[in-house]
Amino acid sequence: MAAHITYLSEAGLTEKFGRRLQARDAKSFGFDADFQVESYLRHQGLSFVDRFDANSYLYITRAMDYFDLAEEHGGRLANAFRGSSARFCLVSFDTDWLYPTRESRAIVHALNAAGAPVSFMELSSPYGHDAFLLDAPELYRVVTGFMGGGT
Amino acid sequence: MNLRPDLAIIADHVAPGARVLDIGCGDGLLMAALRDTKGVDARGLELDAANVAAAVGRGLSVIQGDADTDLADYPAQSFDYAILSQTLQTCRAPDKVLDELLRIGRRAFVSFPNFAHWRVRLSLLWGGRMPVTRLLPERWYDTPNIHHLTVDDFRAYLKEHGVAVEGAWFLSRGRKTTSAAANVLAEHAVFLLRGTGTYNAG
Repeated sequence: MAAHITYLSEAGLTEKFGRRLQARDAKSFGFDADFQVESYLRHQGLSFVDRFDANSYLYITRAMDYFDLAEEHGGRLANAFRGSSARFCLVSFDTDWLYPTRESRAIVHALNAAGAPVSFMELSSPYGHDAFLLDAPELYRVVTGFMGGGT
Repeated sequence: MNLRPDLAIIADHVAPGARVLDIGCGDGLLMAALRDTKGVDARGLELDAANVAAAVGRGLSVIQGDADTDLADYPAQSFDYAILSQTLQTCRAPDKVLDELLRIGRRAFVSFPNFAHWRVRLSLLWGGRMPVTRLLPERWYDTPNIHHLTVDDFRAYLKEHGVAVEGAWFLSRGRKTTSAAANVLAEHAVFLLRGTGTYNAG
């Protein structure tokens, strides 16, 4: 449930649920899901538990914690990209607080310092991290152009 | 290829195969022309998201960013040419941007609209209103041009700061005009400057 919130944005959740109550006329002031947004997040949480082994999440989060690309290259991220022949394109969404724009910019900075060909843009969307899964014509345009533009 | 006259001058004077950073590259027209006709390795920086999308759509490497804040990210002398076309007058701190430009590029092209062109002078003198001309089409409140300058202003700045000029071109209605009367007759100016090498931003 907590993780699922990070895929969304406050504006997106407000638009979808607001403070509407879930199948009741008055607040119960208990620990049950009074609000529609609670009910939705509970449903997402339960379906996650059904679909995945919780231990796999422990392993994945540990792997993420231990991963440090810069550390393997003398503490400088730029060194990790040196000598790469790839072209890079980074796109962030302004309401994504799971992968915020400032972190993409840090990667762009490192790629620049390594002299790598890099494109970057921040797209605007009210839908947070999940925006890339939704209809995003600007994203398609950028990716199509980038994929077609081999030099 | 139909480049704006100031861009055409820049394109003509960039050496083939050079590494170029186009600051305020717009939709990437100049970069694409340099890549396609001169085999230039071009990179761009642009503020406007739609312009960045258009440039990346041409297969160019462009970063969405702000000349006023993001040039410090580039190493010294990392490009043969740094280009600032029609962007200087929109910067919050044009002097800092020029410093960065001359640090990043071994050479730098700077082009800007000349606020001392006779049409601008007449408009202000007789009309008493902020000039709205073909090259400066916005009104005082919606213009991105917040630091207007003249050819003579720029020449004085270069002299004060000891910047070496390797070339200068002046344009009126798309045609070249003389250097001597440029401050009155030129709508556009294009300067080619020598980089300062190891300018220290700190």
